[in-house]
Parts: sequence; structure tokens; C-alpha cells
Amino acid sequence: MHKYLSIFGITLQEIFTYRLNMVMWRVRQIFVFLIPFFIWRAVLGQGGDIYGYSFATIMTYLFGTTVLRSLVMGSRTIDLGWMINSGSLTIPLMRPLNIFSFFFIRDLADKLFNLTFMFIEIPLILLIFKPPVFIQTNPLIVLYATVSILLAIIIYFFINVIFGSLAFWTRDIWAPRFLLMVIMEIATGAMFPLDMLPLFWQKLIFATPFPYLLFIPLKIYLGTDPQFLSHILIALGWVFFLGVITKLVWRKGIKSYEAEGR
Amino acid sequence: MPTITAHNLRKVYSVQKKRPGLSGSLKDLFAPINEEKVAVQDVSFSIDEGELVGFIGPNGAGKTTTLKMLSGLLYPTSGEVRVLGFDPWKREYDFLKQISLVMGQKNQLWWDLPAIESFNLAKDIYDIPQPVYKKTLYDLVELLDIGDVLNVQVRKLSLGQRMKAELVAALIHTPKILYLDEPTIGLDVVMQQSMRQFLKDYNQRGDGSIILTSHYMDDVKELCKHVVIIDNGTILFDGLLSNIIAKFSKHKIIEVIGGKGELKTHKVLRGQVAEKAATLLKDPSVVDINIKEIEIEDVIRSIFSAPTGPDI
Repeated sequence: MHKYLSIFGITLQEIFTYRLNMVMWRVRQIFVFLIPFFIWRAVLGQGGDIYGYSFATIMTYLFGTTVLRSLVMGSRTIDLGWMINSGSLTIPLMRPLNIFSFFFIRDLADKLFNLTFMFIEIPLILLIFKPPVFIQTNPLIVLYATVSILLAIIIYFFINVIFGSLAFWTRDIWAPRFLLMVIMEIATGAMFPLDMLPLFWQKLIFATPFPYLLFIPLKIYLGTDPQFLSHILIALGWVFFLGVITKLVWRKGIKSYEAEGR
Repeated sequence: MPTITAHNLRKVYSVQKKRPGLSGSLKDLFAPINEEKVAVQDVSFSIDEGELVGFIGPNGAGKTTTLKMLSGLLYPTSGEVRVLGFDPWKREYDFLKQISLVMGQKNQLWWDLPAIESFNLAKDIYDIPQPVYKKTLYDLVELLDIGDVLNVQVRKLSLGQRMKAELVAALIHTPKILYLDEPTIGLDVVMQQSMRQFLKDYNQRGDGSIILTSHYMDDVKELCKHVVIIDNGTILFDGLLSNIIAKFSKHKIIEVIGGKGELKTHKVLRGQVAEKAATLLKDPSVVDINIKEIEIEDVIRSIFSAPTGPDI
């Protein structure tokens, strides 16, 4: 365990080395909130509602996804594809380490870093945009939401390992990566609540693991998901399913790893 | 007892072949041609404990591929490897704790952090007790003389300093086997020399084996008694460095020094040396003659350049 703590520490040190990057990344996070804010203000700012969402509730939702996104989608595993192509995967492979734990612990370091900065950004967003914030007071619901967030973190980790592993077979990893990012932007519910979509699209998206990354955990937290228990179970199912796929893909991929030079 | 054995080791890569020109690129898009490239074909050898072995061969000979299979990084297409009793490919912790791999062209330290951070991390990863770690680090830092750069970001180090730091990181857990892929590549002559000196000293201090690949003859000449010459994925020679000349060179050199100090050299078939020397000595202007072996560099160069075998 000690070694993973050290990796956790050194990853944080690494992040801190790039001070400008770090600040710019945080600024980006605020912009991520700004764009939908202005869109929704244009649509609902004058009052009224759409699909049962008023301006206030949609702002609560967006504020929630902004916070959750830092926690769930903060990741270092997105480097995996690059590491395979450049051959730098060799370094952790040659150490007495569990390679999945290595990547997961680096993800956790990234998330902790994000979380710390959220404490500066949240008051800033609150001060400027004054979105109505919803504090869940029911401890049981908070517990369910926490479980659902933890599952989301694991699901996202597996998705990243699977997509990164594509690099074992092809050099073209940027386009698939980018496509995944765009799909996730919509299908996780980061831009708008998924229950605004037509039923057909909702069904389609709910057949993927993406809604369980942001939409479901947030709905559970807000206390507006009547099926939360079955949703948690489905998320758990995805964890197992993607876990098995990750293992299979990795086991096959690592055999074709060529450890090329830079 | 051999620490490393390889039997009929073979590695085949699948590479995409590119057709020439723009139209070729377009065709490749729809119907890529994949070709099998044999990097190592049917290689067998064994290495004993404490040996310092050199794999030599031109670029693309299969040296690095062999090394990567020995370290467990590459999955052999066929054949069997045993290192310290382990199958390297399984990468068991007990195996990984006893080996180390340094690639001359690749950075294994944390690029953005001072080298000391990488060493400290290695201490935790390899579970090295604090007093042992302190002593090993002190010894290595002394031996390599890099005490003053431990707290400098790795990216700011010169290539020579970085290679030294890489070695510290690779040796901090006192591995039984050290794999070195082109350890002196890109270094200046002085730094190459100090690197060789270090490896020599290090090998003599402990019972660890060092396996290095290089295409610099000097590395091998100074360091290795046991050499494996490899080309086109096959072993051309496996044995003592001193036996290479006897095996591959058909000629000897006779140097004749004349009365005015001028030097003439004759390349003579081994069997005819005595006869030729006698003939040469009959010339009254000859002051002295020397009979020499051909330089090992020349022998090896001719092995690689002659398609039908060396003629030297």
C-alpha cells in the first residue's frame, strides 16, 4: 500500500510543476459552466419552464454536473494511449506494481487536486452567477449518492483503460478519443438533463454506461430519481461488465505491446 | 548455473507496409498491406551468474528485441525463456524485484521532478529498508559522482548526467540482472569512458549479471568477455570475445620494418604465415618483422558486411 501512496504523492507533485497549465485548466472549468449558463439564461431567463425544468432547477443541475465532473472525470489514465504508442508504458510495466492500481491511484490524485480547487471555484461561481444551490439533508440519500459517485469513478476508469488500449492495435487514437469525448459530453448529461431528450434517445443513451457517470449520481443526490436503487444496481452491473472487458482487452493487447522507442 | 536460458526464441512483428506516394497512401487507407517482420528467429543461448555479456550487432539486428523478451516486456512468438527460474513474461513481483532495464534512448525518471524524487519512489516501490536505501544511494551517487544534481529537475540535466541518474534509479534495489540497451549512445567520449568504468567496477563488486547491447565496439571490447553476435535475428557467434578472431579471421598481418624505419604490412593466410615471414626476412633491408592478429573491429565489421561470411 505504501508504494501506491508514494505514487499518489509524486503524481500531485507532477501536476504542481505545471503551474500555468494548472491555472488554465481551472479557468477552463469555469468556462465549462459559463457556456450552458448563458444558453439557458437566454431560453429560460424570462421565466417559464421546459420539460419540467425552470431556470433555477436547471442552474442547480448544471452547477451539480460542474462539481461532479471534476470528481468523476478527473483522470490521468487518459494518457494511456499515448504511453502505449510512445513506449513509456514500459516504465510502470517493469516495476513490481499492479498496473491497474498504478493508473487508478494516479486518477485519484488528479481528483483530489480537482476537489481542492473546487473549494476556490465554487464560492467564485456562487458569487458571480448565484445559482440556486441544493443541499441534500437526508443522510441516506447522501449515502446512496456517494455510492453512485464511486461507481461512476470506477466505470469512467474502465472506459479510459479500454479506449487507451486501442493503441495496442492502432496508432490512430486521437479521433476515437475525441469522438468519445463529444459523445460523453452529451450522453453523460453534462450539457443538459437527459430526461429532456425524446424517449427514443433516452432509451438509446440509457443502454450505455454514460448516464451513470454524471446524470444518475446527480439525480440521486437531488432526490429526483425514483428508481435510484435499480439504477445503482445497473451501475454495479456496468462496473462488473466493463471490468471483465478491461481485463480481456488488456490481456490481449499487452501481448502485442512492442515497447517502441521514442 | 545459468541465470538466463533461451531456447529457440522467436519474435515476429506485424508491420503495415506503406505504398509509395500519395496514391499509395490512399490505397493503404482502404486496403492496408500487413507484413510479417521477423525480428528474432530461433535464438538460443545461456548466460551464467555474474557474467557481463555483450550483444553486438548492427541496427535492427534483433538485439533490443531479444533484450525486451528477456526482461518480460515482449511476448515471444515462440520459444522459451527462463530468467532466475522465472518466465519473464508473467512479470511476477519476485522476478521484477530482481531485474532492472535501462534503455539508453528512453527516460525512466520522472521528467518534471528532481531525480531524487524518482529514487525515493523506487525505495517505496521496491520496499527497500531506509538504512539499506541510504547506503546504496550514497554509494551509487559517490561512484557516479552526481551528488550535486540530485535536486535538479531531470529535464534540465545533460544527457550524461541523466544517464548516470538513470543508472542510480536502476540499481537502487540492487538487481541480480541489469539489462542495458545501448547505455553509451549519444554520450561524448569522456562520458562513455566513465560509464564503462562504472559498469566494470559495479560488475566486479557484486555477483549480479549485466547484459548489454551496443553497436560501439569499444563498449564490448572493454567490458565483456562473453559476447553474442547477432544479425538479421540470428546468432552468428556466441562465446569468448578472444575466440572471435580465431573463428572468423583467416588472415594474420605481418608488419615489416625497413632500414629507414618505413613500415609495410602484408595480409597473409594463417597457414602461410611462417613461410611468408621467412621469405620476407631474407631481404637484407628488413630490420624487424611483427606478426599480428587483425583488429577485432575489422573482423566484426567484415562479419556484418559480407553476405557469404567473413573474408578477412
